[in-house]
Amino acid sequence: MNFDLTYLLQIAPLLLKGAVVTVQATVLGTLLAAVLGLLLAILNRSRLRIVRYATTAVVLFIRNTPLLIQLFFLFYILPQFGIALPTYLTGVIALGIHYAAYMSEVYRAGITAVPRGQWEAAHALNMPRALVWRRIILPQALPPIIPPLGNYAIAMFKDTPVLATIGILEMLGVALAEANRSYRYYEPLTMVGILFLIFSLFSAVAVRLLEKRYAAR
Amino acid sequence: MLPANIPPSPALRLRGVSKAFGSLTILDKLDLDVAPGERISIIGRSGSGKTTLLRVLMTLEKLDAGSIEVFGRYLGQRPEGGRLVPATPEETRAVRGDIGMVFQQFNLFPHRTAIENVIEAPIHVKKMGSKEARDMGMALLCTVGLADKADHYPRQLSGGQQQRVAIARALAMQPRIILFDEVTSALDPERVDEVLSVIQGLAQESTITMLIVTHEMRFARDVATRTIFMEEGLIVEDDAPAVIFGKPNKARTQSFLQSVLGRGL
Repeated sequence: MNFDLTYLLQIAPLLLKGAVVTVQATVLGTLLAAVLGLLLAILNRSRLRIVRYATTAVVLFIRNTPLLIQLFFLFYILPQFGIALPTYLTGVIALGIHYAAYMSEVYRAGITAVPRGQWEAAHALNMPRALVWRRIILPQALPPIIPPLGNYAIAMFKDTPVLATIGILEMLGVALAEANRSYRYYEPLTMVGILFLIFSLFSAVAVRLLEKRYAAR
Repeated sequence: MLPANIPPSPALRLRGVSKAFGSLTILDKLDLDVAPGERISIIGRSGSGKTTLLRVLMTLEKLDAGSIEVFGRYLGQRPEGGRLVPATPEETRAVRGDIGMVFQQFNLFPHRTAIENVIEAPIHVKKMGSKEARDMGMALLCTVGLADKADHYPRQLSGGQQQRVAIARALAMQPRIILFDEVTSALDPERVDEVLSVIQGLAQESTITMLIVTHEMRFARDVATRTIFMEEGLIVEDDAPAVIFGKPNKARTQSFLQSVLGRGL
């Protein structure tokens, strides 16, 4: 079978449109994961044991079940309980929740790395706990973990093809739709692979730059 | 007007204060009264409970039993139905605000400059205006001799300078009681005096109540109005510095001082 460059150029705009959806889902998913992950990490330091246990259980559960199943659960099962979300939103939420569990572990490492004396000094200055988090602990905990968080964003990017399974027309979804129409798989799938490679490599370079910047501190 | 014959409430009143870590008793039903303006040096071997005593006062450790009153208000507890129950975090914070602490390891905030370390809590806890806070902070840095280092980050300062900033930071919250926890133990020997003289100056110029845990015996004698010798979680001897360091009454105090002083101060 020959690789048809003309055909490839013909479907390129379509694939690029899919790429936009992929990138969009990654960005939104990352934002959601970053916020939820931080929340989980903070709850994991709660003074209430029940809250700590609950968050640990949630993180354990999410990390040890496949993203695809979580996605199917949100997409097929939640509507049976009357919670029907738009497909795209469902996809973003699945990515966000799944990666929040991983990111919460990264946050936790960053938070644990802040010496206990910092908590004690803030306590001795009579700072309420929320203020200690916001002004003392997080400003020290976050910079060193920005690179590993970035790596999870890249990992999420490479996981976005699962969204094709619920009919979201991201890169793979578009490619499959096109392949089903024309019975040509070679060009669309190759193109998708190349696009993923290009985006990932650029992101990896960006993360390396972040690493350099924050390691210098 | 208050009747003249009622004494002012003590700065601190400890009753039956106990703390254990596992099976190890660190504070053993401690009673202690501290009058406002007293400066108490606390001496004793490592593990005698000195630091833990300061830490329970700062509510960095929970009490196992007993009570602490700060200027007549219970710390971390609240009387209810004739007994003491745990207070809410807000109630505890209200009382804790009377107490400040300086740590052995300084614990300055590394992402903030010297002046920012000093004014962080006044601005965000006491809601002081930033101009006012900055003026006060600069005055305090001046007091500890570091006005020229205001915009330096902690990592750019020596240990002695960091500890002086930490003292200014504690004072900025205007505590009525300040706790010094082995504040020179982490310093190079040639940096010890600059920190001690700051505390000496503070002792002379203010009436702030001080509890000073230290291994610097000469300092413990000179700065204090009263000295406590602790051993195994108990106050063994509690007297004027001249008595403790001159002619202690308890054999255990004597043997401790002989072991740390050798040929004398």
